[in-house]
Amino acid sequence: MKTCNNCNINIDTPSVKCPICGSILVGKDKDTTYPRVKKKYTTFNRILMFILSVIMIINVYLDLQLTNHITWSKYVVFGCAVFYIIVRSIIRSHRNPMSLLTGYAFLLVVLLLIFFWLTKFYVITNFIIPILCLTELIISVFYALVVKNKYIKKYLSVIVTNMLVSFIPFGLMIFKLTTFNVLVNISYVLSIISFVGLIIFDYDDLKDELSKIFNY
Amino acid sequence: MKNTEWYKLDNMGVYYASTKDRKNPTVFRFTATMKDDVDVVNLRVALEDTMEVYPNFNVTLKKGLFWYYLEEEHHLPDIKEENKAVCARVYKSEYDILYRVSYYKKRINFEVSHIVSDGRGTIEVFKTLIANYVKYQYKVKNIKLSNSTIEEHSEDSFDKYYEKYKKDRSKEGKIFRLKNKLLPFEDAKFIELHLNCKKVLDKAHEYNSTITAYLGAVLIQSILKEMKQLDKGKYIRVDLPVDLRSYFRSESSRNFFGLTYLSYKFNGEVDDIDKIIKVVNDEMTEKIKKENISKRVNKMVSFQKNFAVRAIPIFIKDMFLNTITEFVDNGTTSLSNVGKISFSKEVDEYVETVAAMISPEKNFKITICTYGNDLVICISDKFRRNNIVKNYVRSLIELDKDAFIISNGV
Repeated sequence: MKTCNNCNINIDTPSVKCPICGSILVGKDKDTTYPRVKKKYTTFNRILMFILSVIMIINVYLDLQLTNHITWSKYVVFGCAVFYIIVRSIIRSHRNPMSLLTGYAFLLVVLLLIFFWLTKFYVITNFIIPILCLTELIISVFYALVVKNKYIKKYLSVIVTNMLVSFIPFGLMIFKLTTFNVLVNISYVLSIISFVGLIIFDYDDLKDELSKIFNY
Repeated sequence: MKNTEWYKLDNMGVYYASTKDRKNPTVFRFTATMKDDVDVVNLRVALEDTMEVYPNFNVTLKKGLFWYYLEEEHHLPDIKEENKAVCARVYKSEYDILYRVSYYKKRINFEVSHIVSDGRGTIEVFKTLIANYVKYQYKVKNIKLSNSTIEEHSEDSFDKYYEKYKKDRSKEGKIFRLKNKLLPFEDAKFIELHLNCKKVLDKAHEYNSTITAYLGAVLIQSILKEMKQLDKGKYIRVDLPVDLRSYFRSESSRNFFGLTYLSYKFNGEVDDIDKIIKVVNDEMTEKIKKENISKRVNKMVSFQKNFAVRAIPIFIKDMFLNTITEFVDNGTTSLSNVGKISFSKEVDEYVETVAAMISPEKNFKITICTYGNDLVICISDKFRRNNIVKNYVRSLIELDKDAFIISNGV
């Protein structure tokens, strides 16, 4: 053991300093009880944030120099912010692929709705959001059929969430935010059909999963 | 796929689950130093046997609509040589089992998230793990283990002993809180101070006091020494987790503790230890009465029982609890005595020391445990410089000239 002459005590530590007073310890101790744990630094986040900030600043500067207004650069700023949020959440997330997919699809729908609110660009509500919801629904139903009897129980709540997400285009239609409703109708009808299928074929698992989710 | 068992979270588990993503989630560690270097193969077999008895520990945290819940896992986590900071985060994703077993040379470490259990609840699991390890490593037969059933140790005792109309409505003065530069979590200091238990107990008896009250009084005096005149009138508040198993009949290995505290008003000068001990003794006698503890427990549980709270979606509860935790800080520090840890005679022969520690969160925390005649005071500290810890350790070293420290070297 090493000794701290200042505190007058024997210390077993991988450090050369006293943990109490910070003075240099006397003696050597090769066989310490605690290992020296290496630190992990995450500089990626800072590098990413710096690069995106540079891109945004240059774009806004060029936009102001060329047009005297902020025109196209606001879309670049928006795109960079979305890119940063998605990359960061992918790095930080440790969720399974299905719930990750659901999360991002939902996030994308929310961002598209904000974009629609800003631009009133009806292609978003008529086509992009319904196609996104439909794709997500088809992937989850396909996943449910492929992994049946294996991990289906783990993903039931995600599948049900996907079905509910497919009702978003229906909400848009109700609030008259769409002008073309074919894809919207396909989206919520398919969602209802898959929900009925799930109840008929997987009722017990669904009931079990719901009892967990609602904690009863 | 096999049917998986799931458990509702207990009252404290609800809080810790909601605040799991904070920088410093609460994790505690029990560690045993064995006679020889640890054999990982036998440790693995011992863990398998232990989790057969305590399946409610081998769980992952899942998110429901209104509450979190724990789901049993059918596989065990990997046992690795210690390569993380002490009490490092256990929960990272919904697939992480909420405990970690690691080893380093002669030491076996068992780290558990507070979402699953409290210190006292974990001791039984830890003791079973060590007993099983000794059984396989040293071929020892007929080791006596806990005889409680799975139902008994997975019981939510908060729920069992909650009484609706007995709530505590205590109020307190302005609390003294330490303001100093905090270290990142992985740089937190862990200091184990090993003292002769008999010497400390004799000293405590000199003041007609218990070990917890005596060590609490020394801590208060150490804090008083660092207070400024501007802090005059403020209260030092030392949070004391109280094991409710000693008040209510329970074999549960889940969270079942109440929080009470010692408070001491700063009058502008450092009081004598005799005066502090008198106040602490009086406070402890009053506050750890079953009736008062019961009131505090009911206050805690009433949150979970409230219909309006139950109907709020989990993500709003998370936001609320995280904000509350951020702004309404706890006391000045905390002192937790997990008590005497004892193994059966056959196991004792192979265990040299035992220590218990908890992650420091925002300031510094003290955990005490006793193994044989070895009193281990573990200080987990996030401050770069902490004169309180220096005062505290130096006061205690005076009691035992043979005392020594084991530290993680940060």
